[in-house]
Amino acid sequence: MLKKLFYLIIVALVFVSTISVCVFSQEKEVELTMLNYLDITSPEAAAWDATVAAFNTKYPNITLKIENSFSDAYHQKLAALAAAGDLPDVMYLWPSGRSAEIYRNKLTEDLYPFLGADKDKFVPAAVAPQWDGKLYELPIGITATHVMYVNTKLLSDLGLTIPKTYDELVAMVPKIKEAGLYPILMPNKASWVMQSCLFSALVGRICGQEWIDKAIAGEASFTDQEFVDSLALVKDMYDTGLLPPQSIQLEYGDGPNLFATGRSPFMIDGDWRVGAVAPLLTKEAQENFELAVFPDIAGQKGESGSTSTIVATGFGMKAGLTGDKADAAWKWVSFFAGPEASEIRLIEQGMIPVYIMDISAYDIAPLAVKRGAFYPKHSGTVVLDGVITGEPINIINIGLQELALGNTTPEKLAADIEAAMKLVR
Amino acid sequence: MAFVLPALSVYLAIIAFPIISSVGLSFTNYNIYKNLAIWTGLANYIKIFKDPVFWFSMRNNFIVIFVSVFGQIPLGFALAYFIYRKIVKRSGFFQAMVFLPTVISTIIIGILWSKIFSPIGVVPRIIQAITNNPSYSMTIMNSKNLAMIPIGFVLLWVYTGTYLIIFLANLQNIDPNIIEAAQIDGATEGQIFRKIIVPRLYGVIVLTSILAISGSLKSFDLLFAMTGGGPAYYTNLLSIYMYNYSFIYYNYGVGSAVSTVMVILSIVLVILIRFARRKIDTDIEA
Repeated sequence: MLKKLFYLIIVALVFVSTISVCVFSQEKEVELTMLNYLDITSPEAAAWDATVAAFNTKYPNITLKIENSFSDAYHQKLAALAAAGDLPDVMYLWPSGRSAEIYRNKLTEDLYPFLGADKDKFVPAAVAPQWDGKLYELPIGITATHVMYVNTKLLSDLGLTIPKTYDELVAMVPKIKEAGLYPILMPNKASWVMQSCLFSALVGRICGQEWIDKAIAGEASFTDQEFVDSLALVKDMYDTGLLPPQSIQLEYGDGPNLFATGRSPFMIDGDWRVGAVAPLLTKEAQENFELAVFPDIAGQKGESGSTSTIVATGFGMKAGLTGDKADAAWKWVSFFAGPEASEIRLIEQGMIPVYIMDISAYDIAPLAVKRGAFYPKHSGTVVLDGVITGEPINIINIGLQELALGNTTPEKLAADIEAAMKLVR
Repeated sequence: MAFVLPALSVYLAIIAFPIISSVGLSFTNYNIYKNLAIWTGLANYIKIFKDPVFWFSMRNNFIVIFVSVFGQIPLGFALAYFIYRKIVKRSGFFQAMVFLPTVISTIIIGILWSKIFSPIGVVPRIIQAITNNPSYSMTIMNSKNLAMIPIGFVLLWVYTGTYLIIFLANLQNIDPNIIEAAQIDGATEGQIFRKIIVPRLYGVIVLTSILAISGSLKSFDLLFAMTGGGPAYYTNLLSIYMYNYSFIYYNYGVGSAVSTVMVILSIVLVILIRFARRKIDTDIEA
């Protein structure tokens, strides 16, 4: 009888404990609304799908209700949702620039309290404050918006080597043109390209980061000689034929194909173009391509070898989320920038993560390996559209095109930029 | 009144209300992120009137209007007349060919022509082959004064077919006995055109002119897809200028001011056309 009772107690205990485990360990179901920046027809879509699948496996209790949008449509949608007070729980954001209004109006949550000690797991520059001392999106990478891609084989076939100074670069023009090639390939029909992929780096190099900080704060003027010299250099690049006039009519998307097929020994673009150029080349051919930066310019105040850098995009979360919703939102934000998603992007896209991890074990394209080696070699200065927004950046973008077409002067454009900046400072 | 009410309500909600609220917004500095509008009076209008890019965009709009009214309509009319009078053989084929671009999405057409005019596109390649100059590059699009010429050509290519169909349909309504009688009386082809065809189509010409003007003022998609208003602002239209302010800088006040100016401009031009029509009618009656 005692034995029966003992077994009964054991069975009852097992039953109760099993039920308890089931009840208490089951996390609450949470639905997370998300506005994602994605062209679903692009090659990046495969990495995105893999990322979402990995998240679903890790957090089965969180349901992602995803809406994809891309380009201007994305920004308009986000603005409309903000106006309606109906922002999604998590959304794709920029470190400043086009997300500046979201931050200025405090519509998203500061991520520092959520990140806590995990901050040390990221490259320090990636988790530096983005707006008003706060971190509003957890970036997935650091972007060098200026890279001078070099086809070393084509260059050596022409009897040339990578130039160390601007004068050396200019001296190459006749020989490159004689071969029927573009001296530098930079398709800049879209007005942001010149500013983002070249001019920002030139300003950083010629004026130095200290001057840029002062100019943004209003302690220096955009009419200062160093800034005028930066504009004059852009004009000089057109005048000397480094940038042919037709480059202003070339679609941005034309660059990788033309470069990979040997139409120019140099291409100026952002580091993200590695993902577009590498698939067009065999692994062996990629050995003939290098990632460099614009050569030294006489009288430059910035560091030799510097480029323009900015932390990349990432996800942020709506201000005011609490409880399970906030917890689930942070899980997604940190997952997207964390090791699992970074690994997917590294393998699928050759994207170098800012989450500190050993990438030597991965089988990635040689050009992507060179991209990884690029960052420690080059110091960074700001990208202008990361620190200047609204109308002033448009005046710079449009003005650079006018300058290239000979319809304005460096002095006049500098005065226009300063006047526009005065209104927003 | 009760029967009209549902339609009137829909009209007020989706046409009248947005126009009125847009006019209202043009006097404010509306911030979409705060959903807050502060009265700024005429500041937005002063801002755009002082901006040379606004006036350049308006100049481009007038070029589009000019191409539409004095290019697409006469060309559409002439082609319709050729087909109607069977001056060309295989008129059905020509009719289909001219009308074909109208059924293609304007965004696709914009992308298509931007590729054709691109430095690595078909047109420069053909010129390179003809002139035997492999380094030839087409720089007309880089010219502040001439950048609209290729656009004008594309506008003719796209929209002439629409006017061809309108004119052809109206030409087919003219009693052929009148033309036959004129021919028996010894009228030449030119006299038939001037004295019989044109007077009967005055109303259609005015209608197509109104359509062309209003269509030209709101023209956006083709140019946006083809050039985005660039290089610089040389192919900007008022609609692209408005788009930039509203959806790139999120300055809805200025964007609304531009749209208000566009509405006023449209009304003024339509009134001018109606006035011109009345004048022509009076002259004919006299």
